[in-house]
Order: sequence, then structure tokens, then C-alpha cells
Amino acid sequence: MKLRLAFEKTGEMKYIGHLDLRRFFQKVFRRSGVDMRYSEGYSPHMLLSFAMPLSVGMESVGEILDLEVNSLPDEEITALLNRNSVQGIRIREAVKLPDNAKNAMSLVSAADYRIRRKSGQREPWQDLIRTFFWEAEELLVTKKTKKSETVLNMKDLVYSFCEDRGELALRISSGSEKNVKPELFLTAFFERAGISCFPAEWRILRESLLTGNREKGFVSLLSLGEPL
Amino acid sequence: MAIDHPARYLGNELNTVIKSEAENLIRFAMCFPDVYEIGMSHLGIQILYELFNRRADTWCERVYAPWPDLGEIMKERGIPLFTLESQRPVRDADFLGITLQYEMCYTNVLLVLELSQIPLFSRDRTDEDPIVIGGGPCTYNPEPLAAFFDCFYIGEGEVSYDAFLELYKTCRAAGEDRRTFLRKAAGIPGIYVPSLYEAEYAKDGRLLSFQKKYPEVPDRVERVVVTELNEVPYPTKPIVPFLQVTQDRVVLEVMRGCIRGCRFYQAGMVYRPTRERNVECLKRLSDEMLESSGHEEISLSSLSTSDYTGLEPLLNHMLDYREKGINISLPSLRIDAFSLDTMSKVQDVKKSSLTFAPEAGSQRMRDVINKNLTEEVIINGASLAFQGGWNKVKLYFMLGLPGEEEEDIRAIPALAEKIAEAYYEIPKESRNGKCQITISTSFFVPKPFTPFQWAHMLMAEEYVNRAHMVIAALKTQLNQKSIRYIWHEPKETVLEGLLARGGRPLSELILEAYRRGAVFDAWTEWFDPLKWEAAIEETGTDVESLCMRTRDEDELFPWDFLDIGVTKEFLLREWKKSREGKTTPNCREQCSGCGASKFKGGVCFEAKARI
Ligand code: SF4
Repeated sequence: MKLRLAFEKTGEMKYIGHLDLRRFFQKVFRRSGVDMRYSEGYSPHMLLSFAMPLSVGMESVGEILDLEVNSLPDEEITALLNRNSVQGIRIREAVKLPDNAKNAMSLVSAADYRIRRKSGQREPWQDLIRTFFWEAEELLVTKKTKKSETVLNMKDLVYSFCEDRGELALRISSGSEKNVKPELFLTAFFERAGISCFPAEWRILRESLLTGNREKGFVSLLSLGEPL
Repeated sequence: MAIDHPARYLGNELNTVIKSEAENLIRFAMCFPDVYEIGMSHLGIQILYELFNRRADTWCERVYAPWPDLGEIMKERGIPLFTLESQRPVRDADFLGITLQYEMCYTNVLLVLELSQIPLFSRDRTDEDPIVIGGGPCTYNPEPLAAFFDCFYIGEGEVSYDAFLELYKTCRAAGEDRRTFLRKAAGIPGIYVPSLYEAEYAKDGRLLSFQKKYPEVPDRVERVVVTELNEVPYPTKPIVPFLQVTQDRVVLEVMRGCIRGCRFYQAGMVYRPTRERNVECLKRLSDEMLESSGHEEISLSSLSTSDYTGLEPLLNHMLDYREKGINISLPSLRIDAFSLDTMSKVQDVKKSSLTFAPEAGSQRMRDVINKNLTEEVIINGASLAFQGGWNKVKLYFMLGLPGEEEEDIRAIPALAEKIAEAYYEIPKESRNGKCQITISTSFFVPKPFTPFQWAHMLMAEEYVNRAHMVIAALKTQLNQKSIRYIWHEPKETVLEGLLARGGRPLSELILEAYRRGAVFDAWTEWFDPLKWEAAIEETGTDVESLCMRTRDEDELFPWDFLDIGVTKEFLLREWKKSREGKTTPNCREQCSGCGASKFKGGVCFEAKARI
């Protein structure tokens, strides 16, 4: 049976790297006595996969983890897991997926972020966003990987960008196909808008991971399952 | 501020103990003076953590040496080293306990003290500073570090720490100062307070005399030992690190001590007598630990697990865990039908390799070191394994053993050759390609409290020569393509010997090396022999006398004031026997009267022949 969990990674836990987080969850499941499914072989491992790694240092309230179990525990699973977790990693919700569901990793196509200045200092965001982003013809950034450099037009890859209650809310292309880190976009945007930007001044929070596309719209990965 | 692996410093791992800061709480900062990933893998600290935190009046917290990236920042900005759990300065604790697991961590001890803003020398500390106490295997010669510690704990933590902490409470309530406390603590079995003893050294580093300064202080400090392992606390709720540490698994300590008297092996002597936990106790502990930690792997810890009398039922119990997806990491067992069968169940035979530790290549040399293992047994074990489908073998040896001749050195690759031959004797159809034999040699360091404590070391160049003899001999062999040889640079070896065997004057050397920037010496990437060479020069340390000289039989050693149970007479007997190439039976075959029976427990009281 396939399950999908949404969880938070906040506070000091933002310093825990992706592989360490995977190991942490394996241990949470084991401590909780969840009847996990395993791969075959000499060193069987639990069948679990994350939708998308979170950069070390970034907090999130909308991480997604898929797993396979043989049976459901007697106790409500989020409560059970939270009892065996630590502060900063909290399971928010669990859903059951159809057996033929694709894994979250292959589905993610966008992510929502909220961005604020740690100092609380505000800017006339609405105007800046309109002038320097929506009304601009293009906003090009260069994405460097080990092998290549690609120039991306952010106008194609940012699906929504606005001010909301004093913070910036951003929906941006993510996942295996066209992944854009929010920092990359923000740096380019701030530069264009003439705002000084030291990465350490900003707090970026990942809010949720989504699937879908611009034409048909985006939905949360959790909505593909049924409540338990 | 970008530092590597910030998770090293968070202190929020599962099963961490957090206590509220009640008044009069004894705060014990427990330090492993190396990086988190190494320190967190250490069982001894987990045991002490459990032991201390069981006490309502004590809070034991962890401290590790910050990696140089953070260490530098802390030094620059004057940030004091903190304990992980409370994130408060170490210097605010009542105690700073430092475990001394290897000599190459000695400069890190100074690093930890300096970062903690605690005076490096015991004599400069005041009542505002924590009491600095050392423990662990290197305390079997604590003298090179004596000036930096207020006291040392000699032996197993379970025995005397309660009395030690109770005494502290009483002294604190009575408003007594640290000197009074230390003076009284010296009366507790296992506690050594260096400042209460006077040692006189010759210019070449030789100990001339060692005497207590006050009548009420014991003449010799006795090592303390647990007699009944089934009854002492064990960390059944181990801390579960987020980072991948070296031992990312449940570790089950099946026994302490070793029945075999390898003459080079300090642990085999200083942890006598052999004492076992019973199978029922171990089953209960492992069940509890797996449940509380969620670890997906379990391994056994001891000096020689094959000698554990309950091995078969214990391993069978562990095999049952596999149904729950738990991996079994087997310690290196003696290779026989039973161990091969067990191994084939838990590892992929094609991928895993088998380990043999003959330690010496020739039978003559194996008799000298009392490694009771014959070539026949090794070859038979290997053949059995090859028939079972294995084709990878690792062989561990030492070079530079007392009395080693060229013949003995050439016997190392020769043994590997014979193992390769045994492999190619198997019909081609039933072999699994080529065999891969890895020879690995380390250089022998004569350690205190071993029969080889009288032996001399070799100059670094001579160690290199010997490694080259192995290479040269290997090149003449038929199956050289199936044999790989790994050896380590000997630069650390002589230094390790020096720090292991020297006395109090070495504190100057350690300080000088530290002042010149030596830290994390156990890390190849940090170890800088030039800093040490300069410090040796500067302090006039006589390496020749301390390391390159066969010690006189009646020479006074810096560590002789410790009574570890095993007597100097026994060690001397063994030293003499080794020079005659005579072996000594193990403790189960026959008691050799080493002295450890005075602890009234363990193997000494199993039924057997006595001399
Ligand atoms: S007293 Fe005898 S049995 Fe006991 S440890 Fe020593 S040699 Fe072994």
C-alpha cells in the first residue's frame, strides 16, 4: 500500500542534510513499528522516496515523502510518527495513494515559497514586482551545472509572484524537468529592482510542492491521495 | 559563516538527555577530543552518559572537538566551547571528562581546554574552573598528560563514579575547595591525582623515582573492574545521530577482556580478566536498543568475539532480526564452518571479504607474539571460504615486531601466496573469477603494560625498508597479480610510541607541538610531522632513549605506579618467553597466573587447570 506524507522541517532541523533526513525517517518508521515494505537482496532497504530534496539551511512546512507499507498501524499514523520524531520534524498529514500512483519525485513540477527579510524591513513590493517582473519582457538568469550553463527566462518559469501580508509569495518551476532554485530567481530579480541582497538577510520557507502545469493549473501532491 | 556539517553541533538528537537546571545539579561535560562523527561512535561514552544521567543530581552532556573550520572562528571571536545539550560553555560545568582513546589526540586535549577557556595546566586552575578528569585506554600511561589533568579515572566507569560524585557533593556542600576535593578523591579506588605524587626524571626521559607526597595517599593506584557485567547499566536508549557516524548502528558489548595473551596487544592485557554478559542479558539489551533507536543495523563488540561462549545462540537470535529488515554487521570472527555459514546468511559472499589477522608472517614470529594461529588453520579456513564462494581475503600483519628478521618479513607475502594457491586449486568451474588478496601492514608500537613494554622501536626509515622488503618479495611471486599490498606511512608510528611510553616531561613536548599548530594529528590531512619534529628539537626530547632502546628488565616505568591487576612479574615472564619463542596458553586452556584473578571474577574462576 502506497502512502504519502506531508511534513515540516523547521528550526534547527534545517541543518540536517537530505541523506541524513532519509536515515532519520528510516529510524522513525522503525521506532514506530510501521510495517514497511522492503526491497529484496542482502541489504534490504525500506521503500521510501522524497519528492524533492530541500537545501540545507532552508526550512519547509510542505515536504513530501512517499512510502510503501504492508499494512496500516492500529494507531493514527501521523500521531504515531510524531511521537517517535524530534522537534522540528512534524508530520502534518498522511494520505493513501492509488496502487498505480506515480511517485512524488516524478510528479513535482512547481514549488511555493514564502520569502521575507529577517529584519522585517519592507519595500514597495507590489510596484517593484509589477514593474520589474510582470511588465518586463524577460528576466534572464544563467543556471550553472557542473557540465553546462543554460540561460533561462524566468518569465516562463515563475508561475506566480506577489506580495502577501508583507512577505513575498513565489510559485516557481521545480522538480526533475526544470528546476529553478528560488535563490537564483530572487537574486536576479533583486538586482533588476535595485535592492541590495545578501542571501543571509532573507528567510526563504518552502510552503508546498505541487504537480500540474500552467495551462491546467497546479494541485498539491497530497490531493492525489485519499485521507486515511 | 559557512561551516561543514552544522548538525555536529546541534545536540538535539533523539534520546539526548535534557535536564532542567535545578540548583546543585552536578554538570558533567563529557568530551571525546575528536570530531563528532568519531566521538559519537564510541561505546564507552554512551555507557558513561547513561551511568551519569541515571543520577537525578547529575547532568552529563557531550562535547566534541570542533572541526578546524568552526574551531578557528571560535578562537577568533572568543566564543567558548559549549556542551551540545545545553549549548552552554564547558567552563561552567563542574567536571570536564576527557576520554583518551589514542595518543594522536593529545594536542586536541589542549585544543578543547583552550577553546573552553580553561587554563591548560592543572596547577593554574581555580575553583571557578571545572575539574578536568581523564579516562580511557591512554590512562594506562597518563604521565605525558599529567600536567593538564586534575585527575584520572583508571578502570571501568561503572565502579567508582558514584562514590566520586557523592564526594563532590559533600565537599561542595561543605564549601571545600578543589584541592581538598582532589586530595580526598585520591582515596577512591581508581582515582589518580597526579599533583599528589612527585616524579623525578633523568635528562634522557628515564624515570628515576616516583613517590607520593602525602601519607594518606595510596602508594599505587588500583584499576577498578566490574566483576558482574550482567548487572551494570547499559545504554539501552542510545543517542541516534542525524549525521552518518562511523558506528551508525546498535553496538552490543558481549564481553570485556580477551582470553588470548597476544604480547603486543595492550587491550588484551589491561582489560583482563575476560568477563562475559550472558546470552539472555544480551538478547534483552539488543531488543531494547533496536526498538528505542530505530537503527537498521546491529553489531557485536568485544576484543575477540569468537571466544564468546554463547556465540551460537546469540548469533541465531540476531539472525531473527533479519525478518524485520535489520542488517547484521558481523565482527571479524575466526573462520570456521559455523562462522562461514552465519556470514553467508548476512552478506553477499561475492562482494564481501574475509579477514584474517595472523599479525606475523612466520610461525616463529607468531610464537614470539603469542598469536596462537597456525598456517594450517589459516589456509584451511581460507580454502573453506573459497569453497563457499568467497574470493576476497584481507590479511592484517605487523612489521617491526621484536626480533623480526628478513625471513619473517618475506613470510608475509609468502603466506598470501599460499592462500592464493589454495584458491587456484579449486576447479575453475566452481571458482568465482580471480581471487583478491589484500595484505595490510601496520608498524608495531610497544605499549605500556604489555610484555613488549621492554622492546625498542625502529627508526622511521627502517620501517619503510621493511615495507619495501614485503614489496620486493611479493614481486617474485607467481600470483602477485592476485595480491595487493597496503601499508601506512610510519611517520606517526614513532610519535605514537613516544607519547605512549614517555613520562611527565613529555607534557612540554605536547604543549610545544600544540603551540606550533599541531591539532587533529590522527587525521592524515592535518597531521604535520614537521611541527612535531620542531617541538622535539625545541624541548630536547630524547627519542632515542625513550623509543629506540631495549629497556632494562629492572627499569622503573612511568606507569608502574598503576596496579592494573596483571603484574610486572608476569609481563616480564612473558617477555622472556617471547625471546625464547615459547607460547603461553590462553586463559581457558590454562591459567598463567597473570595477577588479574585478584578481581575475583570472569574467566579466572571458570573451571580449568591451574599452574
Ligand atoms: S589470572 Fe589466569 S585466568 Fe585470570 S586472566 Fe590471568 S591468566 Fe587468565
